Amino acid sequence: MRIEVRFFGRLSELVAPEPVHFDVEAGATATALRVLIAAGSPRAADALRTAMVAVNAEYSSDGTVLKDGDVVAFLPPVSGG
Amino acid sequence: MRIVRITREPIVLEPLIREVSRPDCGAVASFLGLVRDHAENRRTASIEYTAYEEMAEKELLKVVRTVADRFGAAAAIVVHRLGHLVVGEASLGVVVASGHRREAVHCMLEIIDEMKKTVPIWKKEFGPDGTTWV
Repeated sequence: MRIEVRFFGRLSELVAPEPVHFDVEAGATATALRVLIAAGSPRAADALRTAMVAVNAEYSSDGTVLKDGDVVAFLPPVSGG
Repeated sequence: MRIVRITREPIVLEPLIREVSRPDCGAVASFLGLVRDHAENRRTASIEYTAYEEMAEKELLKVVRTVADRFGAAAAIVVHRLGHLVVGEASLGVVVASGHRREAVHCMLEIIDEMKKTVPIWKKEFGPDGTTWV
């Protein structure tokens, strides 16, 4: 299944500034995606580890099972305001 | 009324104050968050604000609704600006109208405290000492 992944904050520089598409197995979780991305972008591994995950623009948990077409975002600690 | 806006335009408080004001409210609390010329031991010339915009608007509205309802505020508006801002420019505007001053001020402060925890907005500082993701 195809997942769109977006990176924000410092992760947009460490991984990609634009959305990236990943093909993953059915039943994959956000954790699996996090591991896959860290393997491909080792310098982003630390920042990925501390990032929150959102699925379809809602805060989610690593155990969330992803569906085809989901938009996953990795969000470093926020600093707005 | 609970309104949030994500903008790239300068934030002006007066129109927001007029928007929340109503005859049965004796207090309007207002706040402008400005880009400061230093952070910890770093000098700051400017800050770039970026966001997961679709989610930022939703999360900001959740905060404003939850906090304003808890304080019984009559109206609250929060505006966050994105883009590259120099020292002195406003990144955040908050106005809250309530019957009395204590609720208005406390509601405004808590909205700011809560939005800093959850709203997906990030800042990158630029200065003579380099750039820093905060």
